Amino acid sequence: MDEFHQSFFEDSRELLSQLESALLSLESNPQDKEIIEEIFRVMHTIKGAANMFGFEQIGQFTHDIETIYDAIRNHEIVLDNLVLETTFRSVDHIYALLEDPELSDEDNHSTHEKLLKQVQDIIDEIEKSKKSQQTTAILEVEENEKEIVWTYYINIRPHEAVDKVSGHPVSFIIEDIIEQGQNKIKEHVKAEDQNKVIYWDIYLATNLNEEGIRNLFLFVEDECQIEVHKLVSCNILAEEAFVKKTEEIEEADIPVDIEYLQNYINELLAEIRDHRLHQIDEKKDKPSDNNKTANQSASIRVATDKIDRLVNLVSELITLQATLQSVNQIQKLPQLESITENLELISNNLRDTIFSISLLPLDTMTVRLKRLVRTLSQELNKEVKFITEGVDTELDKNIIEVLSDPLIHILRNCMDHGLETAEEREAAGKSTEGRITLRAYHSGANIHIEIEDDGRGINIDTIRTRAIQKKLISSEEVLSPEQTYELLFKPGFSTAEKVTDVSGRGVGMDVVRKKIREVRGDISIQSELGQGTKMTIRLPMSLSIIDGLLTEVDGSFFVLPLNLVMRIDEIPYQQTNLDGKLMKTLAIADKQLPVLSIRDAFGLKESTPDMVSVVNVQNGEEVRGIVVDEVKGEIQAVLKPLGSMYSSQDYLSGSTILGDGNIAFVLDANKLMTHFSN
Amino acid sequence: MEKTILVVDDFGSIRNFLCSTLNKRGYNTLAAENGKEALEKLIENPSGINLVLSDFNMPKMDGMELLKNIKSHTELKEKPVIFLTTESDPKTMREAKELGLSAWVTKPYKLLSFLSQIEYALNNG
Repeated sequence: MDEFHQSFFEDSRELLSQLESALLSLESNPQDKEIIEEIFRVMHTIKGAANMFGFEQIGQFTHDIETIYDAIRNHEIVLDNLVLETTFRSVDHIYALLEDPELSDEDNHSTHEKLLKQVQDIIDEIEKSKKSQQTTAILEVEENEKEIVWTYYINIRPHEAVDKVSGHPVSFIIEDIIEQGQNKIKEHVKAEDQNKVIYWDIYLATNLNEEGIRNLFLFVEDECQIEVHKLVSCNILAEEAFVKKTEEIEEADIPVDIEYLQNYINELLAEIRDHRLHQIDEKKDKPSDNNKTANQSASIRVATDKIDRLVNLVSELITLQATLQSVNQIQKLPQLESITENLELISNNLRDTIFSISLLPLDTMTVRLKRLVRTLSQELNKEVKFITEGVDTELDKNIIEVLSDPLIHILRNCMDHGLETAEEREAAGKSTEGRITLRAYHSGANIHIEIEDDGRGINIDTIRTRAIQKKLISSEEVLSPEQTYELLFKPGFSTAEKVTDVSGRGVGMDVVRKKIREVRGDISIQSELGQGTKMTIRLPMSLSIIDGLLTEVDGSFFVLPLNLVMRIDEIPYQQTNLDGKLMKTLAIADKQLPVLSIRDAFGLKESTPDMVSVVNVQNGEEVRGIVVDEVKGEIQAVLKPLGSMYSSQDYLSGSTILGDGNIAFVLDANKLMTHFSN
Repeated sequence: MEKTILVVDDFGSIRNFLCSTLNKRGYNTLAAENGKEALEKLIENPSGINLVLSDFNMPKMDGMELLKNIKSHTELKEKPVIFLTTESDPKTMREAKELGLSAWVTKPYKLLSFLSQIEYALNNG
């Protein structure tokens, strides 16, 4: 509910801000019908929503302003300076109400009272002028009737007895009646079936006139016989004696005799003339809920392109700060030193803040996924429990947008192929209800999203056979389970035995991976036959800045994502130069480590260093080494996209400008490994 | 088969709130910002929408215009229409009823009665 309240506040503020500029032009052109209409509409809209979300004060206040503008557009009053001034203040006040809907702030409360009075004065003025315009006596009587509370006796008799639980419209109109004022309702049910209502006896004290009451029944009048009788022009239900009398009548189970009742009331009123007509106002002061308002964080809506621009500017600032840092390293001025340090602190802070702005919780899309699972479970006739964990984890909104399709596809797969039918599950000794868990969590600078099912798991042999059929591998090739699962991501691979409505839609896991890789993420599969399958999506937290390790190879600069770096070893260059192959296995610190030399991979051979650094990086479940000449240090790399010429080199995430103006390539370590090991 | 309800309201938060409330209760929803957009969606996919839940006061095309259009359209006239509005002018209500409106629910509504009105309209036209 809270998110809807928040969005109501935001939407209302947006409407008000549109209104403000309209109001300014209204001052110079008070006859402008369109603006008057717009004010009316905005007030009407906010009123409706406020009432719906239970903000009574906002609802009441906007209702009053709406009344004024309704009168203006109907030419019942003239829009003068007083009205205009009141409108301006009211708009300001509605802003305040949106911050403080319960009026817990003293100042807001007194402004509210003051304005409400001003507004009421204007409304009184309208009523007065209305009355003076109405010359005919009949109309005047009707008008006056509205002000007075009457007690009515209402008898509703449906043509057919109504089942209480069937949701027949009559039964909720009874609920509406309760809202109209003090009331007493007696259902008369069938003796043989207590759920069937034959008719209702209702006593209602309200300021509605007879037409107003009949109108409540407008949509059921074809189905019921409705009697409305005026009993007396006051709230007689406030008198205990009267209520007792009605109970007597009910107990006797005799039809209500209107005349008898009216006579009784007259006698009663004569008896208690001293204290009558005083319990009409039923409004009770609601205890104010201070905690609720204090927790609501204020928010504004900002166009996304503004945020994008801001992100770009911050990126530039960080580059500039890096430049300053390198200048400082040369100049070594103590004053400059502290400025540089402070600037670094501030710009880092700024960077984190600006990125958190464009972050959205994963939750924003899980509703859709839940619905998908629900629909599919009905379509496929499979019982499924869909569990989400850690969906408050935040991701860049651009990533969330990209993620939607892959997640839907994966869930479809889980539901269609992953989970067995209830019978199959029972035969396998599992509970008939399948489980799918969507789990999101932070892992270093990455976000991991796992989709895990407890279904039949992936049959490695089936994949293998299919891959051989499709000539993706030769029949002799020996593959590890991980390598076999990788085949699922090859274009054109589909294990579904038949194309079903749910999954086989021509989009394969290859597309899923491509989409995820577009946002510098990746996906992997783990599975156990008979136990289930887990898909893990690894995603960067942000798209435009990465914390990197700056390295140098033969005068060229390369940045590796810092979050992957495990450790760095220094070894003599000679040890790496084994046999001219790009991928080698070195023995470092008593361990065999597969390594790739950037020098060899990129053909950089101008110089030969004495010592080289082996950067150990996490590559999926394994550790690989990347050999560089020298590690320069940590860097915040602002990613600049490379031109289309580089589009085939997907192991380059982009480039970045270093503080001294040099350019470095940002490497995607995992893709780099995959690319050069093939 | 899930029923699909077209939610028509010019105010985003109400629209989202209604859709989400209805989704939670197992209905599919489509959303439109005004009568014009609603009518376009209806004409585009007459069989895909089972009920129209519309606000009354809206720019471009208001609820009453939308109702008139639906009830005079051969393919759409059987669709139940419910108004959800703060409006409660008896004359307007009567006019709407005579045009074939199924129910008039005033904001704020009571969830259960609101849902049963929808269910009743879906089952009884």
